[in-house]
Amino acid sequence: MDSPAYFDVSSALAFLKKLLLKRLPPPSHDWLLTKLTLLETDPAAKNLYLFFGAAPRFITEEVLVITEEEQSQAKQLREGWYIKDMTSVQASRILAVLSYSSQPQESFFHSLEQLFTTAEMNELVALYRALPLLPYAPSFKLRAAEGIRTNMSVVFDAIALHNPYTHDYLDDDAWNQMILKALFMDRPLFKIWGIDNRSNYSLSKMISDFAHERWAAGRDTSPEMWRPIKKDPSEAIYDDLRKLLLMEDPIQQAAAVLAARALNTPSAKSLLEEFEATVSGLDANTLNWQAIGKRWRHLKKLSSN
Amino acid sequence: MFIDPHVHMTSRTTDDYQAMQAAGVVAIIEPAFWLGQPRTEVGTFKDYYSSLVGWERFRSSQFGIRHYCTIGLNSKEANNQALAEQVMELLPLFVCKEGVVGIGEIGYDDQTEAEEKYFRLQLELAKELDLPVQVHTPHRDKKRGTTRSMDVIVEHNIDPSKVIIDHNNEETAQEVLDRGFWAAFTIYPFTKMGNERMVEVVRQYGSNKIIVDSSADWGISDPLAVPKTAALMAERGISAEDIKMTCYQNALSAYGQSGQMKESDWLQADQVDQTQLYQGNSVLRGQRPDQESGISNIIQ
Repeated sequence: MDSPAYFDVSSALAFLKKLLLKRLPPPSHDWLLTKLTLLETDPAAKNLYLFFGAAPRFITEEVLVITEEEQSQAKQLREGWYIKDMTSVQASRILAVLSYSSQPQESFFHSLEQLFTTAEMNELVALYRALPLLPYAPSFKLRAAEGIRTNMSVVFDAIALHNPYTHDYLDDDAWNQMILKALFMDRPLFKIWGIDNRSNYSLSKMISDFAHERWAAGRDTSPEMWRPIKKDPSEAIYDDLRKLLLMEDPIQQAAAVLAARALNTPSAKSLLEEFEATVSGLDANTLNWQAIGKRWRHLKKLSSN
Repeated sequence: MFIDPHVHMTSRTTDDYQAMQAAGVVAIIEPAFWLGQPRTEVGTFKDYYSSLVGWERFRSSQFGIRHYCTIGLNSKEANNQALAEQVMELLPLFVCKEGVVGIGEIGYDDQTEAEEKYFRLQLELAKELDLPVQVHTPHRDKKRGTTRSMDVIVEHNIDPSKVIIDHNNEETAQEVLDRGFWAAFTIYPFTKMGNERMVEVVRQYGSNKIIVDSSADWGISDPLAVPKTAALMAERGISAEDIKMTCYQNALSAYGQSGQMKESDWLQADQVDQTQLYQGNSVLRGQRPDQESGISNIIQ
């Protein structure tokens, strides 16, 4: 699969450029404009590399305030493209990469690999945020899979959360590792773009095993973990859901109900019938994954940001 | 408070970091240099530069010392031209990263044509980016090599006040200072300056634009050279002001021109927390931090 057919790099570039430039004070504005023009007129790798390192020397780092309209425009340009929580320096680095993207595939890929393998933490965040916008997108699959192995949570978040690249391009093994790692690192699953579409048997088995391991150790489990089991579940899942429904903990019960409804198999339906009284006792407002995720994070004193 | 603006911590131990911190060293600059044996692959340069801006900086911070670096292709390895070409392509990836205070250490070793070529190319890079330059002057044929380094720099229209000429001695100091460059002196046993000679240099020239450093590396060298020289200067009647200038302020003024090194970096630093991680690794390697006491047998 190549980049989505509707996606046009130059539209995304023009949109982000306008959005950032109008927010920058004159010195940063002028520096950015000069350097982006240089990248377009003289697309040498050296200019890209120097831009990448120098950006924070000339652009003051701050989180951009994005309107709902701007966010929705971004999503029209690239499905799943998330621009909230983006900083000025991140946006400038993404712009630099996009300005350089008219290069032939081989040299573009080589330059991006150089940036990835020499990047410090903030540079990595920008690079992973740029992934869904890049031309030759599939060629960065292994890079994204490698990035998921990071122990830096901000870098992991840049790949795993609000990023349609992983949904669109990772193979099942890498996707499953990402979900499990997100659970290990207490990351909010409700921010993983397209999480409901990528369920698979192997993932459902890994989730069940992980839950058993936690329970054997006397530890609790995130209710969000039952979300990605909806397709092709392992048989053990039904016993797990039964266990959750018996827990007398509304948040675990709500997760079991949502998971069983999504499964929609005869076994799931009979489970829901068996626990009809429990199900009807749950507050309907709590029966969605986002509410469950947020509530869980609140209870566990984990940040939702 | 002291600054050692030339020290190769990659080759030093944690004992050195602790001793330096205890002796009052608050900030250091680690120039990119060679590692005692020549590298044969560009990838080892890449990982070396990455460690200077990454792990070594973190390691230093864990001992309460702010770490900066200069990035460049050293003169010795410039003689492997096939490799040098590839290293030159790497430099733009690193020279503007956070905490990089200049291009260095560059200059001459054998004073070959290849050395001159890459010296000039890197001077142009420094000029383009308006970065300070840290110049390594040769051990052999030093006086001529030092003069030649400055001639080339002037030829490239680089302001001498942005250039630190390092490894000076009594024979080179006058010309370096007369031409408006910063003059750094390396206190390194047997092969470079001893610190009794350094005291006399300060007595003769004063403290204007004179910098003391250790260049401690993998050889027999002393990471406490700056604080020890400061102490010796005090013993032998050099004024407190001159000691401060040569062992702290001049290094800050010279390399601070990069915009990457400010006194507030260490004056307003966070408390040292050795349990912090860098890419998942800590300096503790499973040991307990110095600052904490009390071990529990319960593993949660």
